[in-house]
Amino acid sequence: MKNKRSTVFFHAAVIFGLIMLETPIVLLANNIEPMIFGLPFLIFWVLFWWLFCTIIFLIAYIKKWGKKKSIR
Amino acid sequence: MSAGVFIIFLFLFIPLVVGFIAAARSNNSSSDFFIQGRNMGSVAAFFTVAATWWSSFAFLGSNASFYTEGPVYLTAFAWNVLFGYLYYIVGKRVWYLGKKFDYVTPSDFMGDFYDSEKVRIIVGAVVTIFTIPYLQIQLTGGAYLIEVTSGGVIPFWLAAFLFYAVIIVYVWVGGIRAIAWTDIIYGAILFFGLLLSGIYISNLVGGPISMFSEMQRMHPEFLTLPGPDGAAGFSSWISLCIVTALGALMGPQLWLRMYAVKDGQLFNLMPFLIALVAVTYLGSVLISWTGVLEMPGIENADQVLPIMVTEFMPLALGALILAGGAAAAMSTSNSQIHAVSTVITKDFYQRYKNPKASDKRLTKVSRYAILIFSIVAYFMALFVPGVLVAIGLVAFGGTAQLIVPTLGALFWKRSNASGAISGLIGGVGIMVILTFIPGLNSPLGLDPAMWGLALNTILFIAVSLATAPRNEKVVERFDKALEMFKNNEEETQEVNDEKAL
Repeated sequence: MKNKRSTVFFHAAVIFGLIMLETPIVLLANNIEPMIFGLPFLIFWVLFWWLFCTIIFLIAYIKKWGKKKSIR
Repeated sequence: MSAGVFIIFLFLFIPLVVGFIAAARSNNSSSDFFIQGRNMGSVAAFFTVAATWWSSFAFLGSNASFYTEGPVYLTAFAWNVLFGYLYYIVGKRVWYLGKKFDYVTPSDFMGDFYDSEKVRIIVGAVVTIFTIPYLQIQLTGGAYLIEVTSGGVIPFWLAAFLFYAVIIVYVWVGGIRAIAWTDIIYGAILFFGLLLSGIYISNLVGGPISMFSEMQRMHPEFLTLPGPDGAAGFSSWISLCIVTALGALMGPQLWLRMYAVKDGQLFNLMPFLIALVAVTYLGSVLISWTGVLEMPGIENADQVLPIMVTEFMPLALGALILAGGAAAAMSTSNSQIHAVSTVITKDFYQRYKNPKASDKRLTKVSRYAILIFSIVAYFMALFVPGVLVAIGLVAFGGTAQLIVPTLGALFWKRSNASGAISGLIGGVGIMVILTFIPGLNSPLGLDPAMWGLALNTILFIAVSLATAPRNEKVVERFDKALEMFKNNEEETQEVNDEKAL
């Protein structure tokens, strides 16, 4: 049961990240201020969600996807 | 500029050597030539996918876009995520079915699933026709970079010629293995080159952070959508992301790279790796916006990167980076030439002209297809420049249409050939109409390919439902295979869970 849930979680998280980047929601972040770590806000926003998805992919691989026995 | 010429020759010479070493490992079968006997190792597979996906469009185009349009190209971070994700979801299944039913080309998969010669021919035609203009752009871009790096010593026609000659020789002798191996070199130069030169160049204005605050003071319009001209807003943002990711994923060169992989484990890691390499786009941001501050008014925006690099970086280092740009073009075009020649050989020559062709004969035919194809592209690069960028966008949009029947094949049992055919014809048709008929503007500012995808999906579903389902035997065969794939994926998880306990 736990197994199923974590499978769904990874897919949902990645899709959530993509929604933050590729739906009109991104227009809410379409500002220069506040600058974060010296980055204009839009750039920070994009990098943040990109990093989020990238890390999810890594965790998914370590915890789950990469544990499948390889089919050859 | 002799250092530049020297680096170029080194750069052309190394792939040749690698190509011959790779050829020595080949076993002379056509399967080895086309898809490395489905035996490609994971490192080579990753680099060849990443470098193939990373074309001139990214290397020169990203800089041009940041320099003129503001931040819209940042959508690239999302398209890398999307591409990686689809490579896992779609790619792994295609790889599995390819192994099971022995597919070599995209049409093999589609033709077999939809059980229709028409689908096979249409898919073959779409991938061939829409790859040609895209290939031509790579070659023009690559030759142009060689010309600039050499300081004009090597003229455009010779640069393009050298570019082709090297590719033809190593693809001729080594097939896909030579391509994958050379792509490892190209990929490495590419990824580090762009990022490092971005950091180096932004130091002109005191590093990345002060570059951004300077931009905010002088040119705030570059930092938000829709950019300085107000032309690149949300509709460009989403069109670019979807059309690029899907168009690249469905290109024939990427299909072959799905079949060629030896170990399915690679597909599990691919999303992470592909998403990670997006970090290099930061290099483009730094280079182009430093350019906005330090070198405004460059007329041809495609020249932003070469001009900045030759102007502000030490000669040898700069030449190396530009050679990396040529690498971007080369690693994409070598794969395209090889992939299209494979499609022509397998889908058209073997299927309709000479079904009993021997293995040797097939390899030979595909080598000549490479040669002829490259000669055509060479003359097109010399004599038909200019309009290419417009055609290039159509090229991505065209291959992107294949995603609909592909997803249909993998996830929708009720899909059928009539649906796939009308979807593809409708999708490609509306895209071509919206692009080429003057005075017709694509509604909502979305790329024509987006409307193509929408119409394609609607027709695919509607016509599939309105016509008879596919032959039961075929449905069952695929059902079984995909079921097996699913079980395989889940079963092994359980085994692992038990182990963990």
